Amino acid sequence: MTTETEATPTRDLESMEDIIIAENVDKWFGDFQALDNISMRIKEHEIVVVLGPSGSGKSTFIRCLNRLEEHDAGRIVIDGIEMNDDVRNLNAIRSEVGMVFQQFNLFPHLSVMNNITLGPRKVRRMPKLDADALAMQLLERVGIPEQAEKYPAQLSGGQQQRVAIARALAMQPKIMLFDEPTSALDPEMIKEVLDVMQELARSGMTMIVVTHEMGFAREVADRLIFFDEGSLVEEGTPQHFFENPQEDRTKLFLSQIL
Amino acid sequence: MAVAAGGAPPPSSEVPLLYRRGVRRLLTQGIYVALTAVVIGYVYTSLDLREFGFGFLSEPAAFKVGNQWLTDVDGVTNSRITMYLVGVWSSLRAVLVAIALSTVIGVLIGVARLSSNWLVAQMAMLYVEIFRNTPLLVQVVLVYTILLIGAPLIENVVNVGDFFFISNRGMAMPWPVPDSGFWGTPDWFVGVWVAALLAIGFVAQRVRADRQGRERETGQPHYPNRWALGVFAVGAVISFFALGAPVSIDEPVIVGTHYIEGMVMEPEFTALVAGLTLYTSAFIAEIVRGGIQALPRGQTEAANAVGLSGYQRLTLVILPQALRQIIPSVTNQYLNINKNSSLAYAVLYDDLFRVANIVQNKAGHALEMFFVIIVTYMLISFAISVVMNFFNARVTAQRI
Repeated sequence: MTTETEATPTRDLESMEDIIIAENVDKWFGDFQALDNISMRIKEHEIVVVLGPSGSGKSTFIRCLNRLEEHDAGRIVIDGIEMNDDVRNLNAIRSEVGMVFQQFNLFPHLSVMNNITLGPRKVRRMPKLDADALAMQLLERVGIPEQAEKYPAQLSGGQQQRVAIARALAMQPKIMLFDEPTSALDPEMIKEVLDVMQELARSGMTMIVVTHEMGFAREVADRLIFFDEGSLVEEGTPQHFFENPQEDRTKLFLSQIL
Repeated sequence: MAVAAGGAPPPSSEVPLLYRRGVRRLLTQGIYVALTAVVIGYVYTSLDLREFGFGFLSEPAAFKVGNQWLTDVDGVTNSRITMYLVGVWSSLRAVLVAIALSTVIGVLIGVARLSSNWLVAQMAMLYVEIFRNTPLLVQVVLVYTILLIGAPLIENVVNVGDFFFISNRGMAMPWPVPDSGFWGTPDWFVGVWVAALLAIGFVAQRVRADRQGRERETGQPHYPNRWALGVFAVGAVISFFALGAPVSIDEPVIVGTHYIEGMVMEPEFTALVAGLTLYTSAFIAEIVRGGIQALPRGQTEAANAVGLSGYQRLTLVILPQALRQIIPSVTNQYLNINKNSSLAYAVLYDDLFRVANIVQNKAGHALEMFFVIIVTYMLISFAISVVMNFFNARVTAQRI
């Protein structure tokens, strides 16, 4: 589609800095414990795919990473910025972390162009001309420059999700979170979104993806993480996961979806 | 005549007359027309509509009307219709002020109810529950009573720097009036200055739009509001003196037990406007809250994820979408303000309904007066609807 990079560049993740650090994170919804003592470190440029049955806490976990949910205990550090009650830290983190939602969540009263430029113009104070140019560049990248003046309701689901990716990229984040980005799509539109995500992965973006797309996980991920009942059950390379899973719950889950 | 299986339905000539749809429609419409004719005939004969006419409205009024503002008619030489129009103007004033205040307060309370601050949300809920669940009539009379009993007598008036007075006769404040100025111009000459101000306002608006445009294009601050304000202020001062200072400020003075000059907000007006505002703003708050809550949660989350501040989220993402839901319901509330303004009767505020009643007491012609009253309220309501529909059409085409 765009980049000339043909194959995944030889990755040397070991030498990279930890861009996300989570230590002993707990999250409660009333009496229900959604996250139980989650600790993990994610390197810059790493692609992590999070798996798990529904209700396992995988969405809750990535929503804690840009504070759409507040964690109740433990520590989260994003690119050296402590996630705490300091609003300056929160703003800094949100401008480093882009998010793509299952339901797209585009702003229906704004055109595609304005959906993408809203953040840069209002948060980053970017001049309109520059923001428009950036938006067009991103629409080219996700393959739908001709839809710039349309409204979200006039687009297909796959196109809407690609606009949502462009909107998140417009804030020039270092990390992208994807919360089941293809789960609300018709089967024939899944590929166009996965292609965009694959291109993004090749470009060196740090990505955390909650998905049930096993093909994507196998091909693109550096590491797979399996959640169940709020706990981190197993993690490893795709090879480890698909050929030699250790935990019974992982095996059961994989046997059900593969 | 054998009917083929799955063939055409039987021709309508075979359907009995009473079962044909066309015949049934004619029948019901015939009954309706006949009943209407009977009712009209009854009203015409029993209410003696042969005397129906509006000539009595142009006769001299011979009664006084209070709560006047910008008008000064004593009712001696003025016709009844003139006095009625003074009442209409009093109603309009109260309605317009109540609409403006209840909108501002309603939106604030509605947003406050959704605040993550516990105390703010609870206070807003208390406000809504109190004023939504008590009768408007009680609220109007209560405010009136408080103003009459709670405010000091005019002998002990609260005097703020000799230009603002509060007593149980109302609040008095300075107000601009036409002045002969340097060149002895007549009163109407102030209109020239008003026209000049409108023209200057238009220029200032253009300057603001131009500055905003440049700001959007370049991203450099061009201070559109400061520039517009500056242009308007300088233009206003220059034109004021160029036209010989045609306006002076009238400061209120107390003579005996009355305010003279200045602008006086009488307790009747204040009570009516306050009652209408408290009551209606509680409903508008609920409409605003409902409009916001009807939006998918994802809109708030997406706005947060993009990095918008709380205020930007509200004004750029939430309210523009919620307004589409809010405006039609709020229009209904505005129409209610118009109709509920007739509760002026309870605090003896001389609105259109009260003046019409005085006319009817003097002249009879009850049916004509009610006809006039109803048509007036409908016209005001219609005007409100037209304005709101225009506004609705504008906000649904949103830009950033």
